[in-house]
Amino acid sequence: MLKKYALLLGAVLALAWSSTYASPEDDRMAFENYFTTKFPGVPLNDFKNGIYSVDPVARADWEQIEEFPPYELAVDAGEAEYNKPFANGKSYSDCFGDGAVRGQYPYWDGERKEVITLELAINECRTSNGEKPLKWNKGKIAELSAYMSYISRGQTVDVKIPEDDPEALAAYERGKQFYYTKRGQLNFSCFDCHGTGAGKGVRLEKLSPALGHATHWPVYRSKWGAIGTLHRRFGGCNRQVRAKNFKSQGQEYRELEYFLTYMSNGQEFNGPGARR
Amino acid sequence: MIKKTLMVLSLAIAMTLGSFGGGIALADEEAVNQGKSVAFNRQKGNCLSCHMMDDGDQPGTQGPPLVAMKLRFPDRENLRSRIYNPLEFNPNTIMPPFGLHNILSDEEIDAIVEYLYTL
Amino acid sequence: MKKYVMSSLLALSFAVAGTSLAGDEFEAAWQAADDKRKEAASMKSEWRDTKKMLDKAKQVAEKGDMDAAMTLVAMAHEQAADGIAQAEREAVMWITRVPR
Repeated sequence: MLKKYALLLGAVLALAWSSTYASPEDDRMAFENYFTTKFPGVPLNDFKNGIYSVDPVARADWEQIEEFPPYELAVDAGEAEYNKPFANGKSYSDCFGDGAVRGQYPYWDGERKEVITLELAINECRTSNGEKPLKWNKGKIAELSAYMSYISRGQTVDVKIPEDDPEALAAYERGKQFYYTKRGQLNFSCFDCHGTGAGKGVRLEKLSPALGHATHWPVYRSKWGAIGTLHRRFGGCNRQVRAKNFKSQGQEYRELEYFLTYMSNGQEFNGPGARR
Repeated sequence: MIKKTLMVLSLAIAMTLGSFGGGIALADEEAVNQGKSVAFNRQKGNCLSCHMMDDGDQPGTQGPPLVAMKLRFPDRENLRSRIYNPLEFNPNTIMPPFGLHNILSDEEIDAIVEYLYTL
Repeated sequence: MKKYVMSSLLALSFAVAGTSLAGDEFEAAWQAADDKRKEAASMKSEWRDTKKMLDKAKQVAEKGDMDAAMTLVAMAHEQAADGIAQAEREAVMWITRVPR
C-alpha cells in the first residue's frame, strides 16, 4: 500500500515538475534560495568558501592553513610555466594575455557547439602552438590553472547561456540532469550529498553545499597531497558512489561544469583553494 | 552399542530442549554480532557514516539515530524492506538500496535487522 | 591393448569436448554481460566495478575455475541490469529533486 502510494506520488510529482518550464535564471535563483534558507546564518557571498562557509570548526583550521597556503608552490610553478616560451617562440600570453581570465570560463562556443573550460583552453593553446597536450587531472595543467585562477581572484562568476542558441540551453539542461540523477551502486546524485545532505556529517566530515562549489578550483587537497582540477574531483565523487567515472574534459563533465558554475553566478572566483 | 545409543539419544534430547530455550538465544546472538559487524564495516553496511547507533565511533548525521527500533518498527518485514529497498518508501531518499543493488547479501540484511532490534 | 587405447582416447575426447563446452558457455555468458554493461554505459549508468568483475572473470576462467568465473559473470550481468533499471527510474525522477 505504502509502496504504491510512494510510486504514485513520485509520478505525480514528476509530472507536475516537468509541466512547468524553468529558465536557467529561475533555476539559479531557486538554487541560491535553497541554500540561503538552509543556512540562514551564512552571508550569500561566503558560499564561495565551500564547506568552510557552514562548518565553523573546520573553518578555524582552514584559516590557519591559509596563512601558509599549500597551493603556493603550485601557483609559483604555474607562473614559471606560463611565462616559458613554446618551441615556436610564442607562449601562453599569446592565447590568454596577462592570464587573468578565470572569469571568462566556462563558456559556450556557438561555432563549435560545445562548452569550453579553462583547462580545455590551456591544452588547445598548447596544441595550436605545436606542443603536446598535458594530462587533465593534475600536475602542470593544475599548476597553470592555479596560477591563472590566483591572478583572477575577485572576478565575478558570470556564466552565460546565449538565448539565441538553443543548443547552449540543451547543454545546460544536460548538465543539470546529470547533477540531479542518481547513479552508481550506492544510488547517489550530486545533489543528494551536496544539497539534501549539505552541512550534515558523514562520519565526522561535513558535506559541502553546492552553491559556490565551482568557484575555488583547482584545489590543493591534503588527501591527494597535491593540486588537482575540478574534473579530477568529479571523477572521484562518481567513483565514491560506485559509478563508473566519465572522462575528464569529456562532454559530460564539461556540461556539468557549465551547469554547476552557472548556479554560482554572482559568487566570486577565489581559487586556488585548500581542502582536507 | 547401548552406550552409543544412549549418548545419541541424550544428545538429541539436549538439542530438542536447547531449541526451545537457550539454543535460539545462542543463534540470535550470533546473528546480532554478525549484524553489528556488517553495520559498522565501511566496506559493507557502513551505517555509521550516516546514523548514530549503539557504541559506534564518530557517527554521521545524514539519517536519524537508530534507537528504539523495535518500538518504531514493530513489523520486521517492514524494517527489512527499508534496508533492502528504501526507494519503495521514498524515491528521493538518499539511503542506498542495500538489497536491490546487492550492496549486502540477503543474509547480511537479516543479520542487521536482528541487530537493529537490540537497539 | 587396442581396446584400452580406444577407450582412453574416447575418454579424452569427452573431456576435451566437456571443457570446450564449458568454455563456450562461459564465452557466451561473458559476452552477454559485457553487452549489458555497454548498454548501461550508453545510458550513462555504468557502475564502477562491473568491468573489473568481467576482467577478473576472464582471469579466473583461464585458470580453469569455471564456477567462480561464471559467478563473477552473473554478478557483472546483474550490476549492468541494475544500472539500466536505475537509469530508467531516474529518467523520470531526477527532475523532482530540482529546487523550485
